[in-house]
Amino acid sequence: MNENDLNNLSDEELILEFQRTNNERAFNLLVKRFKNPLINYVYRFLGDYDSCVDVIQDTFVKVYRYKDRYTEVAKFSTWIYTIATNLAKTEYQRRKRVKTFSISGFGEEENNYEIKDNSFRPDKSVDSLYKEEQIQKALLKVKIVYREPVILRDIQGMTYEEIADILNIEVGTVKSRINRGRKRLQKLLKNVYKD
Amino acid sequence: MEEKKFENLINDLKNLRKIKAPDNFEFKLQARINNLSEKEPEIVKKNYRLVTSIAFASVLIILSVIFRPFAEDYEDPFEIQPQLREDLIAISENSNTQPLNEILNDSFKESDSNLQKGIPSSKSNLPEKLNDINSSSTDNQIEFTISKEDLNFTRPVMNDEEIKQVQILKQKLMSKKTY
Repeated sequence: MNENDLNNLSDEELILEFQRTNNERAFNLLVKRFKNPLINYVYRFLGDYDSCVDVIQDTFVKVYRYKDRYTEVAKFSTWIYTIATNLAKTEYQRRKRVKTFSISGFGEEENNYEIKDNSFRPDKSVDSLYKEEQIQKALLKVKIVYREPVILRDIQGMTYEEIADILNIEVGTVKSRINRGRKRLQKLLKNVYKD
Repeated sequence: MEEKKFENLINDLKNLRKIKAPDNFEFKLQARINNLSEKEPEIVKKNYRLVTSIAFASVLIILSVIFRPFAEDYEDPFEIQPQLREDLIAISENSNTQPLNEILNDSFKESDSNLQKGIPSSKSNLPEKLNDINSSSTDNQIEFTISKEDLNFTRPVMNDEEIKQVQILKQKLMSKKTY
């Protein structure tokens, strides 16, 4: 199967191809498709870039090792997001126990480094950057049980059913947690938003 | 309706900058995967469950061979009777050595006869009355049951004169103590 043929396959077909033939090009294509959305999701969850890169690396290693555990019952995106969520929670608990923190929001290095973002436009106002920073800080103050569904819904754009599958809860619970998460965020950002 | 309440917040969350993976992400990932493959032997990866179940079964077999709880000759270490140390047991100088239970029976008989004659049995360390004592021996194991009454080993038999002398001595001792 050549590269073009692989590009036309869906995520589920790619992982099945990888299971069947051990075709690493299929795996690499999945990495290419999911690395950025997963990094974005876990960064918003943990707030630390270095940690989120490690978590996503671990996620893909697990997908590689345990590829045979994927079954067609669920979507591939649900499966990989579940793995990433569990690893992110583990990292969060570990950091909470150790209580490590970095002065820089981007990592433990002395100098802040720019996160590559091709969508960033130089004519964006300073206000929007400040707002973004405030939102991220507020997100990290929300309890993880509410933070997760808010990020998956409002940042990643997932459906309630997908979120329910990833977090292994009912759709009703997803909706109620999203509502509570948003309320909490709005309260924390009361200077930015008005009721 | 709920979403209208948070319209501005939802819009700002949607429009947050998209964080991306570093340039060397795939390179590092490949290095980790290669490292992983070198460590684990292929047979273990493929047959993980088979290997663990074989290991568990082997451990069970080894334990059953060592302990053999259902073997006929199995001795529970907590129920083995301690062996008698024959070097500490007084054996007669007779070339025909008597078994221990016979020796003890003879001694008991001797002390019985002494009692009847009125001879103090202080020399003997054996109880005078043997009514409650049963002895049985099986393979050098002797069991005794002794009652409380028979624990007074020395019980001298005294005549009237001896009793009087003892009384006088007691009085003298008492008078000395008062001083």
